[in-house]
Amino acid sequence: MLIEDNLIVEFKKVSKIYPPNIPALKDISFVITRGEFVFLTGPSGAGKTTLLKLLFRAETPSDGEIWVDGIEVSSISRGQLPFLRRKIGVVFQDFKLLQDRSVLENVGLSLEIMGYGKKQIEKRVKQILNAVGLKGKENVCVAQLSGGEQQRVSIARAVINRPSILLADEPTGNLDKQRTKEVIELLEELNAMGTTIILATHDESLFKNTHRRVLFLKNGRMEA
Amino acid sequence: MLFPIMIKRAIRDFRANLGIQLGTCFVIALSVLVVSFFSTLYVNFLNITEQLGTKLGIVVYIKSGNEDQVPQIYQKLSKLDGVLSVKYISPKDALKKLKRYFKDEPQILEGIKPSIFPPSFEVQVKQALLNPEKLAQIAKEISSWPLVEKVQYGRGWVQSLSGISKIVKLLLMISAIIVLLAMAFVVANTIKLTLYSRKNEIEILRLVGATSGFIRIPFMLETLAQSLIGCLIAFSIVYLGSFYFRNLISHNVILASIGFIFLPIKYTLIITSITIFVCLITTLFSINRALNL
Repeated sequence: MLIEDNLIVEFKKVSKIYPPNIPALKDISFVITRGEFVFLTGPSGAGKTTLLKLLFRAETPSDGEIWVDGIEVSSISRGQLPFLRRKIGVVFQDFKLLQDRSVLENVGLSLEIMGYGKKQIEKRVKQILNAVGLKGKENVCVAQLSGGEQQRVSIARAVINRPSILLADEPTGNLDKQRTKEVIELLEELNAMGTTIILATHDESLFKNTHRRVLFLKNGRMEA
Repeated sequence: MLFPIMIKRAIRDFRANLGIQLGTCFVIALSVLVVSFFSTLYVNFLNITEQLGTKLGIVVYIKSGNEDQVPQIYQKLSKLDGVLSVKYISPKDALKKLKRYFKDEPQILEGIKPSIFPPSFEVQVKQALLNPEKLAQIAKEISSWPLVEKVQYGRGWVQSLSGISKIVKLLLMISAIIVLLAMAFVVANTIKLTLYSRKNEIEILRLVGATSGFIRIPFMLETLAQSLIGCLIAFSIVYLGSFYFRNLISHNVILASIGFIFLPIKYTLIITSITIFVCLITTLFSINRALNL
């Protein structure tokens, strides 16, 4: 169990070794409190993506414990996994959107799987699109949007069901400077509304002049 | 609340992949058509052999001088388990039958009196060909009765026809299994293709927290629709073909007297159920394997 109620993530001596014997993470321990905005950084291959994957159980740790919002992630069954993932929003560098579908269909997917009706979905999607600066774009096909807009759609999908935590894996990796700034501002706004955010990036400029906590990974180890 | 959404997703996916879906329907229809064709052949073969088998009934000869016992023997024969009908042939009837047989050479039967023929019964047994042992058992039982002179039946014919019937049944089952396996293979490949074309969508669905059922059930519904459409096409062809064939043989006296039987509803339901079952199991197996569920 988490010792303090305001802890939302806790890694306890977590290691991940990929077969045949490739270590990705070694003895990682840290905590994140509710409402925090944490940057996870390090060079390519340092283990940032692996760490995020462990959080939403796309991977399981070889050793150690991972707690997310009171749940020990590696011990949950396959049947419980979808319910864990509904608590975690994930944003990727390549957006992972259905290019042939509308913004409404993409963003509404997170609600559709939970059994929300069409009207409720439309209402919530409009609200969230307003919040991410995509007002009136609900019926536009995703393929017609710019990279920055697509990332906003991806963020909207990730947060529409109000997850406890948002994981962003290089969310600005495919964006220019201006779009990067817009996305970071959007994430700041979401954080201000109470969403815990873990942003993995190798771009130092994103956190250079910030007061946010930065977790640094190198060769699978966490450095101070 | 989730099931209507799953149905909508299934309909949308069916439309989106119409080419693949209709291709699968066509393969299922073809498979069902082959099985139905052999089944129709089988039921008609069974009908013909049954007709022959019924005609090859048991003839029971009664000892002369026991004509007064005929009603009792008739009752006893009628009550035997498996007996379809009993017909009494008096000595006079026997002579008449013989006269009809030799109608072109009546001199052969000149001076012959009915009394030389023993009274007899023609006994027809239910499904004699499907159960030749039963026929033999009835014949054996009757022959043990004290008033019975002799019991005759076409043992050889019945056994031969029964043997052929069993071979045809076996061939039908083997062909059905082969066709169903081929169908399962095609359905599995269609599902693989569909899963591959929707790999991205499935990955996203899992990412946002869709349950396995939410991903799996629309696929199952699509397969159910494919199976039903396939069966509908196949049975429409079978029944239209049967109508055409029945009309065709109605002009031929010999074939018309044998008659043509449509594929019974019972067979249609069995084939449909097996098709749906095989397709659903194949789909479930393919999805579970692809999704590593």
